[in-house]
Formats: sequence, C-alpha cells, structure tokens
Amino acid sequence: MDNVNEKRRPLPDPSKFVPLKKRDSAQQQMAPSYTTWKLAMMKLTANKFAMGAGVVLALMIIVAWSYPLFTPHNFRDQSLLNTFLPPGGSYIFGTDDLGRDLFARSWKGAQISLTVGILAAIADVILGIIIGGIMGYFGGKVDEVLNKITEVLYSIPYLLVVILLGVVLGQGMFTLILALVATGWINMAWIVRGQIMQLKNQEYVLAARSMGSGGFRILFKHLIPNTMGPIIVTMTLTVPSAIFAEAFLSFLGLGVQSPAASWGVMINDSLSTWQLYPWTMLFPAGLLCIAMLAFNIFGDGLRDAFDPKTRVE
Amino acid sequence: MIRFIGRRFLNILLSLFVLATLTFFLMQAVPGDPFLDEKTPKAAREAMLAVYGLDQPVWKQYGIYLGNLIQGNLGISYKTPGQTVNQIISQSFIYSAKLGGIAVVVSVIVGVALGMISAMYNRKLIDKLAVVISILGISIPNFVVASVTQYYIAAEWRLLPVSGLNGPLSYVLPTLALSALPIAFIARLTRSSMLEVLTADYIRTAKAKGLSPIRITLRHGLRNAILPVVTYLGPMSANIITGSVVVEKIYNVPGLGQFFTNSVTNRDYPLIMGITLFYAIILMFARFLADVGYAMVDPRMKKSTKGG
Repeated sequence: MDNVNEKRRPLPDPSKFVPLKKRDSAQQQMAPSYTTWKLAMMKLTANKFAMGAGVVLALMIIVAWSYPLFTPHNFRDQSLLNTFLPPGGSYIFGTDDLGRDLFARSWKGAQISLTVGILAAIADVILGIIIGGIMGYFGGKVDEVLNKITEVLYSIPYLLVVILLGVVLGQGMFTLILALVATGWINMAWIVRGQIMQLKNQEYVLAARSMGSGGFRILFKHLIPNTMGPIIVTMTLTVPSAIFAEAFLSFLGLGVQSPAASWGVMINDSLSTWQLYPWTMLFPAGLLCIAMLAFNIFGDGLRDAFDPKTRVE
Repeated sequence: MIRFIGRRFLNILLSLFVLATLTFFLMQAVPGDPFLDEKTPKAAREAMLAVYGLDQPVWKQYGIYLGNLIQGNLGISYKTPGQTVNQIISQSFIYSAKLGGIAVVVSVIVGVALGMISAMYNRKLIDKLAVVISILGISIPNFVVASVTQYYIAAEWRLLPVSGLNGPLSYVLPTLALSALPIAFIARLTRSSMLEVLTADYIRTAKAKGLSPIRITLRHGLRNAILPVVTYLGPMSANIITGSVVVEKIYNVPGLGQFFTNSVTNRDYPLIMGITLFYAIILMFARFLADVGYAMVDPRMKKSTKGG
C-alpha cells in the first residue's frame, strides 16, 4: 500500500542478466511497426475477457435469429392447459402464466433488444459523424452555433423524450429507437468533433489540401477513417445502454407492448408470479444481464485496445 | 467565474424554453382531446373545453401556457379533478427527494471508497473483487435488483420492510436499488483516475517527505482523483431520477415517479408536461451545480474562466 508504483513492475534480477542478441541489420533492430488497427486487434485478441464476451455476443445474436429451429412453439401462442410448466420437455425455459413458451419469448426478446441497441447505435454513429465532423472540421461560427444547439438538446433527458414521443407516436420499437437516437447522437458528435479537431492540423491533411482536395473530401476520406477507433468504442458502449433503456421502458409499460416479447415486458409480466415460478423471471432477466455484461466487457476491451497507453503483454 | 456561471444559467433557461415548447407542441400533435368520450354530451364537452381553455386557437393556448409557466403555474390535472399539477408535485416530490438524496450521498461515499480501495490494492484480490462488483452493478438493471432484493431480503427472510416508506429501515432496499449503478460507475471512475494520480510526481514527493500512506491518498491523491466524479454528478442525478421511476413502482413509494408513469398511461397531458418540465429543471440544476463544482475544484478551470 505504501509504495504502489514500485511494487507493480519489479526490477529485473541483475544476476539473471542476459545480453540481447546481436541483430544483423538496422531494420531488424527496429521494433516492428503496426497500424493502429492491427495493434488494436492484437491487444483485443490478447484480452481473454473481451474475447470471451465477444464469443458470447456472437452466440447470442446467432441464437436470437435462429431460435425457431430449437423449439416447436411460437412466441405468442397461448396454451392455458400448459401454464407455469417448469423448464423441460419441449418447453426448454418453461412456460408463463398464459402457457406461452418462455424459450421462444426470451429469444424473440433478444431479437428486439439487440435490434433496438444496434440500430440505435448505428444511427447515432451516422448522425454523430456527419454533424461532429462538420463541427470539428469547419470550426468557427458553424461550430459555435451547432455546439449551442447540441448543448441545449443534450440537457433534455432521454427518458422524457421517449415518453413524450411515445405519447405522440404510439409506443413501440420504432419510437424507442427514434427517441434513443434523438438524444444519443450528441455524445457521438462531440467525440467525433474532438477527434477531428486534433487531427485536422496534421501534415497529411495539409498534403491532401495542397493536392486540391475539397473540404468534404478531406473530412470523409482522410479524417473520419482515422477517428474510427473511438467511434467504434463509443458505439459498443452505446448498445448496452440502449438495451437497458428498452428493457426499462418496456418494464414500465412505456416501450414495447405485450404480447410482443421483450425482456422488459417479460420481467414486468413475471413480477407477480416469479416468487412461485422463478423461471418466469430467471430467463429474461438472466439473458438481459448477460447481454449487458458482455457488451460492457467487450466495449471496455475495445477501449483498452485502442488506448495507446496500454501495451500488448 | 461569474461570466461562466451566467453563461451556464442562460443555457439552462434556453434549454427549458426549448423543452417547454417541444412538450407543448408534441402534446398538441396527439389526436383527440382528454374529454373525447362518446358518453359525454356535446354541450358538456364544450363547456369542459372552455374551462380548460382548449377551445382557443393553438397559438393563444401556447401563449397562456408560457405565461402560466413563467409564473410557475403548471396547470390543472385533467384526471384528478380539483388538484393542480403544482399540488401533486409538491405532495409527492418530498418522498422522491428524500430517497434520491439518500441515494446520491450513499453512491458518492460508497463509490469513492470502493474505487480508492481498489486503486490502493491495484491488481490484488480486493481490487479484482471491487472490479467485479462494479461491472455487475453496471450490468444488472435496477428493476431486477429491486425485485429480487425485495423478495429475498424483505418477503422471504423478513429482514426489512417490503414496501412503502415508513421508518428508516424501509429506505434501505430502495436506496440499494437506486444506488447500485451510480456506485459502480463512481467506483470505476475513482479507480482509474486514482491509479493515474498515484503515479504522479507529487505523490512521490509526498511519500519522500514521509507522510503516512492514508494521508497521501486522502489529501493528495483523492483531491485530484475526485475530478471525474464531480463531472459525473450531473448524469448521476439523471440516473437516479429515472431509476426512481421503477424503484417507486416496485416498492410502492408514493413519489413523483409513480405519478409520472400513471400520468402517461392516463394521458393526463398537463401532468405529463408539468412533471417533464419539473424533472428537467431538477436535472439542469444538478448539472449546473456539477459544472460550478467542477470549476471550483479544478484550478485550471478557474484560471481560464477568469481570463476569458
């Protein structure tokens, strides 16, 4: 505790000193150089936690869209003779109060949650890149005006926007995505803006300009591709918050509506029954937690991978 | 500093105006009106519309609405007759405020402590445990935390009250559900900034001076590591407010969150608008305080705002 920094990296034992091998050419003595992407991918693949999370996510996406192969039941078919069946038999996750198959419903819910999360994140990125790019590259008055607008919009809490839009447009997946994007793109725009501001005075931009490239060409061909790292990281971390927002609103009855299956709807449906029939909550809540956990860990791994301060071990 | 505060304040007013306008016209866009009911006679309906000023042209209604708003009058609830939105908010907000306030204090204290311990024992077992706790806190939704703890701790083991807000013990579970996410977030923020600070030169100097480790971490480390936590205070209040909506539902707390969800399902427009604006005011105020706090804690901010 008293010497935190010294303990972390112990000095090598001098008795075990091994001289470096003599290298043949100057080229071999240089450390190999990698592109940002390659380096990031190396760091990411070395991170076992993040890779595990990535595998879990991939599996989840595959099962979410292929679940009808594993169950004969439909997610909305009710069967009042088969209510509250425990997991087993043809009902892999059991059934709920209306005899609906929880396996089908849970994975249908995964489809909805993942769609909302991923579509919202992609829309955020597109809007954020365009507006943040313009803000960062052109600067000056344009930046000032857009900055003011985004500041005002950012201060409006997303929950309020979702609820207001839900009242007007009707509750459902589309409204949810719209509301999440309406407030979510701003953060992305600010990140892109900051990145572009750092990059726009680099030599390669000057070179491109002296070759006669126009503003938008420089922006989209030269600057944006170099900001993709932080953008992808932010995107991965947007997905779990969007998934949470979907579940949260559906739980309150303000998002996706029953009989459509969504994790939030299912958890809400199970509130009065799960004490006796725990599987009605276990599966949707468990999948929700796993999805959030996996996205968070994977996003953290990506962030570390793009962080120049971390190294490949 | 004063310039900075003034600019922020102006921003808040502007945001509120935008939100108020947005809310008003969104509500106008909803088809039908609150008294559209087959059983209501036409004359009665017109009388009702006249009472609430809904027979006026939209622009006039907007003017009246803004005028009332400036005077702090949020209108009358359609569905709970005889009660103004202001009354409903003032009656129910006390519960939400108490719960939210406690959650804020608990989140900051526990989060910072967890993050500090985690940084001091970097990569040891305690640190790993703290990291796991914080990842779980971020990944498990508060409504799951709330319903599971309610069942096991309150209903099954009878350790704490199941619902309502009577007596200090009944605050424990709702606070836990509300502060799980902020604790996790603050712990992560504190940990990473503390790790950075602890490798700084002035910490080495302090150590060389022979100060005790506790003194170093508290006086030199924490003071500098706390900055990111201060910036998180704004978003945190948003998290706690949104969280309170579900937690109040699960623990049956008669707070503002309950009224908000009910007003949406009842389509009680003045109540929706009123509570929306009220939440926005609180949130913006919290962000404003966080900004001012940041400016006061960070010496660099002070300098630059004074100069510019």
